[in-house]
Amino acid sequence: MMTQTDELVAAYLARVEQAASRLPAGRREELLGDLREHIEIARAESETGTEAEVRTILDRLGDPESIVAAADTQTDIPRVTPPPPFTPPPFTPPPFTPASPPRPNLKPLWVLLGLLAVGAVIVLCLGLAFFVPSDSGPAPSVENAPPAPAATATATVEPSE
Amino acid sequence: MEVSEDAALTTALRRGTIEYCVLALLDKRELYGVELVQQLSTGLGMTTSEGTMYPLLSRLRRNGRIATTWREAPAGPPRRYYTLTPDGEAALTHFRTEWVAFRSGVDRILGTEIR
Repeated sequence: MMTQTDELVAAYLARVEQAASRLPAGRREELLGDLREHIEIARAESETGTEAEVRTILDRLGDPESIVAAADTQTDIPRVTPPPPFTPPPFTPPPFTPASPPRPNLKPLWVLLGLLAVGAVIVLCLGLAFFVPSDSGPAPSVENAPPAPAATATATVEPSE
Repeated sequence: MEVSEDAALTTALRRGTIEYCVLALLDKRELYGVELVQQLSTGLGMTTSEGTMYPLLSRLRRNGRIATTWREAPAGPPRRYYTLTPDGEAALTHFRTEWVAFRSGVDRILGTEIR
């Protein structure tokens, strides 16, 4: 099935693949896919598809090593550009980092404050429990008070008598 | 030695400009890989390094300046067309301004202004 020109193409792609072994797997596959596609279409468009024409296609693509070298420089450029997306995060962490160390210190404080609040509520409830009956106590004593003015009245009456 | 120096010079000159040539070609119309790479290599005298442009194209795609879409062809396998994204268009507009300023500066210093 494999013709001589197919073998020529396979050998060329194998050379690219070997040179591209230093590239990350994703980039290598992408590059090989692009070149495979280029060859396939250029062959489909070539008039006769002879071996000479295929050789021309491969010659124009160029030396596998220099193609991979170009891929190397292209992987370097995006490495330079990513820093902008990377710089925003460092700006946000600083606010987070000062905030996070106090947190462990604040936790016991919050627990203490919580306990104090619970304690205060209990004290208030107990206080109310004591004061409410004593409030109902004074109420009668207020009712008892009128006799007192009466007593004073009688006391004031007494001198007049 | 002189040949490799020449090669180094042209490589240095192309670096930084070739990607805007890609954007400018795609600004005219969408092109599939073989067409795009052939137009670039013919225009820039790089007919024996068409393959080196594919890594550039994949970077431009990763950076969102170009996109690809598959289209059926009247003959042969479907073609993957490269198109310019709005980001790519903005980058091209910006580069055109920068390029004119840079080129005139270099021309003034070199004494190569067109009078």
